[in-house]
Amino acid sequence: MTDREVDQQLVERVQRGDKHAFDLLVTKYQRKLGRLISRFVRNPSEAEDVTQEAFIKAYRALPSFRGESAFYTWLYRIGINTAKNHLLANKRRAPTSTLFDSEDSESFETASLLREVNTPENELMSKQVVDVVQASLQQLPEDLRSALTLREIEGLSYEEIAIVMNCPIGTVRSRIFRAREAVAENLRPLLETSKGKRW
Amino acid sequence: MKQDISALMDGELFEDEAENLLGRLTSDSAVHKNWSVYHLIGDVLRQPEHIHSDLSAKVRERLQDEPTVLAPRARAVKQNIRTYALSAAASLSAIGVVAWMSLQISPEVAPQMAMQHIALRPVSMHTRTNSNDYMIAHQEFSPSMDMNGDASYIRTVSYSRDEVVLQNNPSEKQPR
Amino acid sequence: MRLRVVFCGLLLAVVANVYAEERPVGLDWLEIAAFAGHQTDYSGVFIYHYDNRVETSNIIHVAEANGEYEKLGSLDGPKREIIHHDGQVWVYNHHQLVHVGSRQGRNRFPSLLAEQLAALSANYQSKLLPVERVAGYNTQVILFQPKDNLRYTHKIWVHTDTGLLLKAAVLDDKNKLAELYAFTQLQIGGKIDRSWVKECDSVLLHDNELSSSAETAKVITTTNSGWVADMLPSGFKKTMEIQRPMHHGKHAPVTQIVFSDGLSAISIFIEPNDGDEDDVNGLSSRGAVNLYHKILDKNLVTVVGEVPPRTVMQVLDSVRYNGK
Repeated sequence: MTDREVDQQLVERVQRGDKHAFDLLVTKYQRKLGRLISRFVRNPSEAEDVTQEAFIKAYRALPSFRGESAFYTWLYRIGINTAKNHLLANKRRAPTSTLFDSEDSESFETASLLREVNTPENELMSKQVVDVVQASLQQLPEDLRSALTLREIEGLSYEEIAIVMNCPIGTVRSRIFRAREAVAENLRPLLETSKGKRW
Repeated sequence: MKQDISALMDGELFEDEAENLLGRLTSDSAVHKNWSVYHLIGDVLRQPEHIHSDLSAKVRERLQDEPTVLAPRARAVKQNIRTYALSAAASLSAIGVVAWMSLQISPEVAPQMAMQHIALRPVSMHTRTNSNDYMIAHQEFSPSMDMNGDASYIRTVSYSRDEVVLQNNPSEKQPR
Repeated sequence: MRLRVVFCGLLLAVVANVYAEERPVGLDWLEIAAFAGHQTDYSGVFIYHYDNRVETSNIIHVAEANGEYEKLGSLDGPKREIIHHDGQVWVYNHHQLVHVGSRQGRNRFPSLLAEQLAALSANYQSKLLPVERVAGYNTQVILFQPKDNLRYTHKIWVHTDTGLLLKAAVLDDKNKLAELYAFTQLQIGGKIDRSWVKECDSVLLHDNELSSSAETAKVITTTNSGWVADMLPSGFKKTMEIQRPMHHGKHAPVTQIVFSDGLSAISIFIEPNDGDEDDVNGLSSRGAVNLYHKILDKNLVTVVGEVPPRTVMQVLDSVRYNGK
């Protein structure tokens, strides 16, 4: 089952009433969509809100998704529209850098200031996650590291990797899995902490 | 099981196994966790400068308030054909329509193909410095071709003889 | 109140710096176009314009469970059609579909790499231009202007809904059109003729002399040739180094080294020169692609790329052997 088929299957399950299937799509595309949206919405926590909003919109629009385009490009478009609408709606609000110019609307300020205070913690966690993944990657035996890199970064199929690494496809599958598990083992303790649970 | 999740997310799991796994993915939270952490790893490798927390829990919470979407099983029913046909003249102002697809298939190759019919141009002398060979070979790996998908052949649709020679003379293996 | 404001100002400054490294939106569109081209079903007519010629073709692209199928046909002159799938190639001969072998090189292009995209932003300035209509669809227009004079300008028109690339142009250093690719008619999704897909599958099955694509692909091998080029424009990174057959198998295999800056590529071909080649001067051009070659010691070295002639020449002059 190809990647596109998997998405299509998940979409159909959602369309048949299975909300959990939508979770899987969110997990899969959230950071890719998040990065896209952050192009338009500079404030990181706002961007996360907008990303969530985009997923909700996508969920509501799913009955009209017919699979003519790939799911991600459809989601992508919704992401852009949501981001743009957000910017338009907030046009009259000063951009964050001038927030502290005005001393009016204190309640609004308080709310967004609270979010701002959270951000460094998120930054730290994010950095820790990245560090653990990258360090784990370096520790992997060469063949596992190559297989994972060729798959995740170069985007090669198992067959292509088998040709490049000159080994059977079954070996490719196994190496990629073992590489993922090795990195995941190092990540899980971090994710199990109270702060990590949100990751 | 975990290995299957790994293969599924790469689009490399067979149909029936995939169906089963998808079912478990949506119902079993432990299985979902693996899907989640494996995707996090890939995301970190590709975009380390932009990693945020897992939004799926928040989205899931909000979805609880949403009415469940239901769509008719539309697969069997083809939707309206969105044919936006415009005449070439209308969309391209100055350019006249001329020839394409420089399919150069040399007559020496394979009785399978009746060359007289298919060769478009007179077959070139095929000196080694025939630019065409190099251009085709180069464009196979050119990134701007990625965008045009497999229509990399829009640039040089010279069908190389190399491929056919290999095919028809399996004994004639190239030295490595 | 003031203290809190100042404190948060500092926090924001920190956060802002972290995100100061911004990736231009143009790159997102590139990524989406590459992805959409492989995943979308479409059928249409496009023109390819270069060197005062225009060639028209039709194309059908479908993404099936077992991969992509693509049929290209010429709309000028005698009818010719080619089908690609999974690295294999079919042609119509006397209205009969014939499997003619494997396409060399990678069977499928991966989506654009993070590194390629990073290289892109270092070497090109991307600019979003106003939306235009192409073949009846709204497209986002993005311009990629090189930061030096060693490469060409690229301009793309991407369908805002599906991300499909509908038009692409390369402009030379005088801002003249070097080549253009554009859809004139397009249907996205919907009912698309797939009868030919089943046809190629059955032709493949009956072909007894067929060697597996993996076997054929082994004829291309990755290598460490020892050849280098010192004067590559900045941002060009080596993406592959292989040995491959060329010239209809009549000569020894050729070393090909490919470099890319994310939008353009330069290939260097090196092969032993058996002395049967006299004509080694001059520049060849085709659309945006330029080619130069020369004899170096006992080798024939050829440089090809979607870059200006001066760049091709510069690279060629700097090729040397650095191995054992």
